[in-house]
Amino acid sequence: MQASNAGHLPDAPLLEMRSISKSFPGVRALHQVSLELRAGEVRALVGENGAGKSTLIKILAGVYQPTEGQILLDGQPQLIRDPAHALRLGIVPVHQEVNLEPYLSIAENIFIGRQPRNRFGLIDFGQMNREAARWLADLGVATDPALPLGMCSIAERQMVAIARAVSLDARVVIFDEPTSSLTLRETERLFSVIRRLQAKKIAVLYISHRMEEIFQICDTLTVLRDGALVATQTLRTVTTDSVIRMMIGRDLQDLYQKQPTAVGPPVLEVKQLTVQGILKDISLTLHQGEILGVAGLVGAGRTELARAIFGDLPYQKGEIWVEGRRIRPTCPDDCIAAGIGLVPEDRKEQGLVLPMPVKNNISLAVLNKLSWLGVIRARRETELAQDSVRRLAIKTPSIRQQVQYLSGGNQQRVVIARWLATHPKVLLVDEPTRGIDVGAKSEIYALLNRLASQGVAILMISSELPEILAMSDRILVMYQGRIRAELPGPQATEETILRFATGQAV
Amino acid sequence: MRKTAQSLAQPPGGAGFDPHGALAELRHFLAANPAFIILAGLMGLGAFLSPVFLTPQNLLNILWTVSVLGIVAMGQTILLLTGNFDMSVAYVVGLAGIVAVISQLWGAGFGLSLLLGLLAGALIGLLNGTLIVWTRANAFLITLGTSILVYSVNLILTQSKTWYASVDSFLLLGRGKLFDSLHYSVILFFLLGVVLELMLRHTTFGRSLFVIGFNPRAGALAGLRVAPIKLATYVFCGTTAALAGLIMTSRTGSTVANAGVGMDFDSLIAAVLGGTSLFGGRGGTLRTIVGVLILGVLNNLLVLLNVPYEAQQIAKGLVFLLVVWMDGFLQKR
Repeated sequence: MQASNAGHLPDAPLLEMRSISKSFPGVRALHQVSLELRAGEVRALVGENGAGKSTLIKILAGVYQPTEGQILLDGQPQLIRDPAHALRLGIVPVHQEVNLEPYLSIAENIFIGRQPRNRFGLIDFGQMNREAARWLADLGVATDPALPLGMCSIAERQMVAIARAVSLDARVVIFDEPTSSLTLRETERLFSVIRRLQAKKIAVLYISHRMEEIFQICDTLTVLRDGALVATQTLRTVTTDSVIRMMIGRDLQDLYQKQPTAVGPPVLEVKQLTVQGILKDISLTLHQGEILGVAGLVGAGRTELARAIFGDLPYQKGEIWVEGRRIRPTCPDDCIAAGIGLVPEDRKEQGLVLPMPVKNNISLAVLNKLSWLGVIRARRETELAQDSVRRLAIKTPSIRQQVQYLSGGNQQRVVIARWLATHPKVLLVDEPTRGIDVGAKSEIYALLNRLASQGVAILMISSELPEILAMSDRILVMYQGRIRAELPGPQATEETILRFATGQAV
Repeated sequence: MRKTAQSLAQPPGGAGFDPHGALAELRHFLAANPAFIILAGLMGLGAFLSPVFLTPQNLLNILWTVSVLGIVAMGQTILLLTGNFDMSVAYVVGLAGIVAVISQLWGAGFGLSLLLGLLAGALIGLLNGTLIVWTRANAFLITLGTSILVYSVNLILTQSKTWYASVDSFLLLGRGKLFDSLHYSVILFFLLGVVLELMLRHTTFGRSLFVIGFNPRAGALAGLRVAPIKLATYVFCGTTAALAGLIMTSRTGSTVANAGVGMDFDSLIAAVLGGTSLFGGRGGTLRTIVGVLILGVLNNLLVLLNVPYEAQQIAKGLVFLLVVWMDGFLQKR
């Protein structure tokens, strides 16, 4: 279909970026990147974190001005002055965190700032709702446009944002990691909407870390690395491996390096753990040196399971035992004392104190051990930080660097370093590689494997099935707050996991 | 990896910037702490405009005047670091003096009356902290509410009359001087600033305050017990306000229900003026000393120059707005 279209370029490009460069003080973010988008084309934009994807989008969306280069729309050179101007030109970004008003209705969000008026100059809600419903129906969405947006799921909010984009006469729609918070079914629906956009001759720029999705929905692919264009190709001519090779600039022998480790005695035992309305009768055993994968859809209760074990979510029934001793945690501190650590799902909101230095983030859970009568012994803290940075190969100019300036992979290593300092027996890791680029992912996997081989028991929650399959010794599949299945790692497949995770198999 | 998009967000000369040479370091320090420049500028202006300003007597006078507010601002700064406020400090200042003076009338000596005054402040702090931890409501509004309660207690206790201290040693607290030149209260103010700053920089408790100010959720998940720490900071702030109230009462020898009025906002202005953020996580008590001195010098100058009271209030309001605007502006960068 469109892929062949983009293959031999019969028509003129809708959007053309010519040798775009962007420099910030001290850093060159983009260097001579050129890109052409045709009407109705779905283009994947891939690259590691820091490859320049965000800068490129921000230039298109009018947030940044390019240092050099030209942008042409319909062959006309355009200076995109600011985000409002980009919208008027029909370049519409649909952000990761969709910026809509939760207290306004869906229709009000679609028509924000340009609501239809009646003859008294007041908003004509009837007409607005009818028109909103029409735009939504156009995308195959049947939600009532009078509902407040705050009551909608993230997926529905995304649909509202897209409906707004289409109603604004969008020519180019930019998706930045649109599926990171979506379930499988919602992702499918998003894809069918993208196909409708395509049919309307709208060009789509699709940014994602998820290779399977890119192969499913995109026609062509542009790879950036270190701010420069590596290649633009049609997807039929590439494979996952070749794309990854282009992204990281070297051969990735094996993304996962699972080594068989000797599984030891049980370390963590959970019996009939129940949290009202969230978890029901969860029992599991985690052994020394084992990686236990927990799969399931968003909302299945995986994160809540980790929080309950970690003392962050009170439970009504059940028992938690660590090395044969029962713990009754009232807060995370109790669990840390018992030898449990949690690498939370949202690194930036829950894991790190972003404006603080690497050093302070690493020492946070062991401050008491590093201090004498409440006074932090600065030398020991520095030694711990330097040692951790070395052992985990954290890339930072200094242990005094604020953690917010590190890349995603290095931030995650700082969180892991914090827990290693506590010498944990059990490590709960929730989405350990979310938002981390491919190269850094494999290093996180290697790190987790190394920890397991050193005897740490790891409970790994993940939405990425390839990751669960490759890393786990055993796999638990959760569905609606219960454990639906326990599968031995080597035998499990994506299909079996999904059957249990969607409640189709019992 | 250094060339990530995130690292682009780093302002030039921000963290990680390592200037060489003492001069560069000084410049860096001043850029990070503009309060020093403001203070120096005001002092220069004062010396230029008024012959009296730079006399030792006047400077000591400024210190003496600001020390009460300064002690209140110490507790306020500790709270601000965690992203919290205490708007009840003004009436706690009054309450502590009232409790001390009334207990003296009932026969309490120096030590006991002091203790009771401090205890009253600590209790109000405990009430504030408990309400905030428990209801998770907005700290600003909760403490504004308790502020009204404390004021009513003050009115009931004083029966809206002025009360006089009756223990002579008590009066020394506010009027006594070291070597006949420096008031004890000034020494106490500076000492508090320095000791608290050391506590903030070098103890686990101090560190946990900054963590809570930036990201309480991450702190809790790393094992911090956030609620008891919050309670402790409120109790501390109530206690420093009470200490200030005792000093103030001892200075004048008398007290009324609204003795500390205005110190709620003034302590906030002083802390933020010094460089402590209203959003938590950034700041320190040494900076608050500078902020308090700026306010003191400004007030002193306006009085020396015979600026009418109304204009003084306008100046104060403008300074407050400027400071809040700057704080928001710096946060966004």
